[in-house]
Amino acid sequence: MEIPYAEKPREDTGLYNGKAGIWLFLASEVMLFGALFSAYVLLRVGADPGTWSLGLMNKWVGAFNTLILIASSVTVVLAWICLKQDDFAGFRRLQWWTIIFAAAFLVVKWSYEWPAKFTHYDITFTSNEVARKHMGAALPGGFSEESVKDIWQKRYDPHKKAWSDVELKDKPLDGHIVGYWDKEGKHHEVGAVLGVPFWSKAWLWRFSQPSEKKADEAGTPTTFRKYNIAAIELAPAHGVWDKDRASSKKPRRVAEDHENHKHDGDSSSAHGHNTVKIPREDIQRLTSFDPGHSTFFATYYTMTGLHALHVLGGIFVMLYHLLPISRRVWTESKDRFANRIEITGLFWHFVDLVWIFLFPILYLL
Amino acid sequence: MAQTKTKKADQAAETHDHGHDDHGDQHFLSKYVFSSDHKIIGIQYGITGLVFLLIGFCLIATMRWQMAKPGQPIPVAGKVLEHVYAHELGGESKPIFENGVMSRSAYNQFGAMHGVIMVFLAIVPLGFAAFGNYIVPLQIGAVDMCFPRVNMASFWCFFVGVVIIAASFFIPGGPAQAGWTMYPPLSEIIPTNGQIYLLVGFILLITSSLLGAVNFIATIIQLRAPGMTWFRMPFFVWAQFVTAFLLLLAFPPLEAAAIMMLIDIVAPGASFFSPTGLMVAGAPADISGGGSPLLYQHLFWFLGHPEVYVLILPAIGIVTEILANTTRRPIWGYKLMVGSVLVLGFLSFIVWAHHMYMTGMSTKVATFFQTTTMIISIPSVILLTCLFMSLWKGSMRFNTASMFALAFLPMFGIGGLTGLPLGFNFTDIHLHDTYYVIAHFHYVVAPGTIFGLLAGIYYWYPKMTGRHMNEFWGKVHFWCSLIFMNLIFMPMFAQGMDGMIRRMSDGGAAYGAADGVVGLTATSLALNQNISHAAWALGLAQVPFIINFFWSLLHGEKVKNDNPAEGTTLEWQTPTPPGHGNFTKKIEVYREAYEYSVPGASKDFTPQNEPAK
Repeated sequence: MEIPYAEKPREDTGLYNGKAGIWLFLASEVMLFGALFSAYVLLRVGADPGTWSLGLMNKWVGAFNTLILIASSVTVVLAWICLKQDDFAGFRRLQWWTIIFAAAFLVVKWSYEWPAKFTHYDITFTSNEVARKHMGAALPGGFSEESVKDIWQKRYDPHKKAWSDVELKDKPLDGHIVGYWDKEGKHHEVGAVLGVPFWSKAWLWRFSQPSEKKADEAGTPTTFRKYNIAAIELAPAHGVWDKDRASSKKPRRVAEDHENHKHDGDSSSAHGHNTVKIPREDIQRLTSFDPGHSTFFATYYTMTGLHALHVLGGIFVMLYHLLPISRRVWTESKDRFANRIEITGLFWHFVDLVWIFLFPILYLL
Repeated sequence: MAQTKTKKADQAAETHDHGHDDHGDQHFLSKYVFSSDHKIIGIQYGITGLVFLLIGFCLIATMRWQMAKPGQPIPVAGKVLEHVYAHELGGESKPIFENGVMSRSAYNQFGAMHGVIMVFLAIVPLGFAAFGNYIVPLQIGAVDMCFPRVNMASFWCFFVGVVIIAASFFIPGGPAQAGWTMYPPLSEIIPTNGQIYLLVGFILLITSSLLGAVNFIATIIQLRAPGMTWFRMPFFVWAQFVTAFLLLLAFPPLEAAAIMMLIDIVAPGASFFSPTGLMVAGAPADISGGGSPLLYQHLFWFLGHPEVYVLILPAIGIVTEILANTTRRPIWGYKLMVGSVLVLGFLSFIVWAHHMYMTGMSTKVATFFQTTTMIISIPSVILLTCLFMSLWKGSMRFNTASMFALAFLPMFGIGGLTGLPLGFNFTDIHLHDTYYVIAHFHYVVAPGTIFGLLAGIYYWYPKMTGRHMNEFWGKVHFWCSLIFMNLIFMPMFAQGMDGMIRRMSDGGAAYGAADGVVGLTATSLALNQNISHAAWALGLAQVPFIINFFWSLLHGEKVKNDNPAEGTTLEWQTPTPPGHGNFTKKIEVYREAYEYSVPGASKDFTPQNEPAK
């Protein structure tokens, strides 16, 4: 038994089976990503003022990824053209290039972009006074509303509309957690796991105070609470809180609480600039830039994650076509093999196209 | 000349071994379990679907006790469930079945799982996957589906999803309990992992239906036999074609919603669907806020409404085939029906928000969705009218299949027409979430779709097995099912208009009217018991069917030839049962699908592959 039109197109439809199949599959994929894009629009339009994080993405890294993905789309077509010109070796070479580009995309995404976000923390405070105190400690020249306004608007409010709608305590102070003090007052460093600083255990820390009533430890089971923590040591985001405000740059100081400050040697600040000590009772909410940070980041991880899984799937399919078995398929039926590469290419272009939409809506707009 | 040729072909078919199978030497596993043959896959879907149809029914039969006799221990089953279904509820130390009494949480779990199982694990697999897989390639004269191995992957993807959902009954805390619609934030904060199981199961089911839908559409486009033009296709194939498009395009948004809800539950603080300021158990929830519960409802109902047509269209297709065959007449208005089903498919994508009138949408949006909802009733009415017109002057063969198909028409009619008041904003405000809604969609799906599916089982059973089912017990099954179905759902219209709300674990007893208190009337509440008795009687009425189904496999009357129904469509031109590769002769199509009682013809049916004289 043989399925007809598996290789040659059917006359009245002009399609071979696989091509009909892949276009239908892509139609379904359009609806899947379409639903996510719709969700993006709805959540963004409905976001409370100052909660849609607009300026936290590194657009140059995103642009680099866009370029290599476009390059991979070129090589995937050239590979197919090679097959049509009976050049199997050329096909293999270009297919490898496609895979290299795709892998580079994933490496940038999963080993740099995501982890860098996971270890970057936003802290909001329980009162405006506390916020003023800690922000003042973070800024090299002490608290100034102008500086905070400048930082906040760049990141959360580029249209400069919501400054007075959001209280100071709800405007986050951000940075990296470099250490903490336990309840006995002993200082600990937050180390890296397996020597990789990005995937440090700090990225799992989450903390918020649900209410006065449930402020006791028994409440929500968050990782942060499992540790015996009295205060955290935050290194404010480099190039944000100290940028162009470095008139009184004092390297390595822990602001506040100088008298209680007991360092274990020189460990308090790996970053080489000032750190802020924030007692836990001052913290309203502490979260890294993970899906729980805001609907923006939830959307960002969902969409880029689903897209990256498609890239990964494409890599597997393309690797499969480079296995030794592919040469046998090629010698048995050149049409059949070229069809497979064409279908893979159609899928690959779709994956590329999704990124072309994702890049502007997540990085630029 | 042509006739002698056909005779020869017929003889060839008759002398051919009926158990023909060109991979007879295959291992049992690869032949019947991990098979890529569309017929085996169809049967696998069918068996899974029927099993879950029974399980879904058992859930609601148990719940009906709690509604009829709230707070009383369930006889026999209660004792069993107390031991089998021994969860401790999250936060409480009370067992979920205490002394055989169903707790409210158990009621919610059974209710949610009844909906999920009936819709996603029973009716869709039966109507679309089982009948579609078995019949569509036969009717278009194809050797198999376009992508047989993708077809197998589709089934096993489905099966793993089914196992995961079924397993959630046995995890600590029990299965999901936020209704089959799983509205957040409720579904995200109930302390059970059942919701996670359900969502993972959903993602697998949707992947499976994606693979299936691609396969169906590609098969119908690519593998039609020579001469099988679009307007020569049997209406059943058209119905499956549109259904496949609905699955292809409407399911992915639910997949997106399932992924987002999964992230909401699994990732701490994530809140796609939880709003700012959400309070859980008296304290603010530890979430980022900014989510939109309405977003979920839109994504869900964008699937949810096309899903209704996924449930009903295969049944309409089956009924059309059977009515043409048993009235011995061509279908009246075949092209009109094809046009209607295409329009229906398109419109079903733009009516979804009529499920959401109570969410406070603006009147302009409500007006749009009321209008489209009223428009979509037109093609539905055309379909039904064409089928009624087809009965005119038919010389009816009253067998079990045709009786189920006939009963489908008024039942689906009642279900459809009672939907109109729900499509209007102003009447929906009174009827929303009442038993009226339950009665409405059950009339469409239970005596509607399920009757269509049962008709299909009786009609094609001889082709699938080579034996007939027992007609007498079939008719007993039919009459009892018809009577009890109506006794169950008809009173619910009255209850709903009286104001009885869905999902009340005591059947509304807490809201009964008393002296000086406005509430549900005693009549409404008393109907609960009548309905429950009818529901259990309906369960008993299925016993003859189940016995008949298995008994006939071995002892049923053998078919006399390959075309016992004397049908015109191509599935009757195969050996019985069809072997791998389906046809033993070359198939070329010369005629339209329903050439019954053609004037001047020697017999009252002319198969599609019979050449013109």
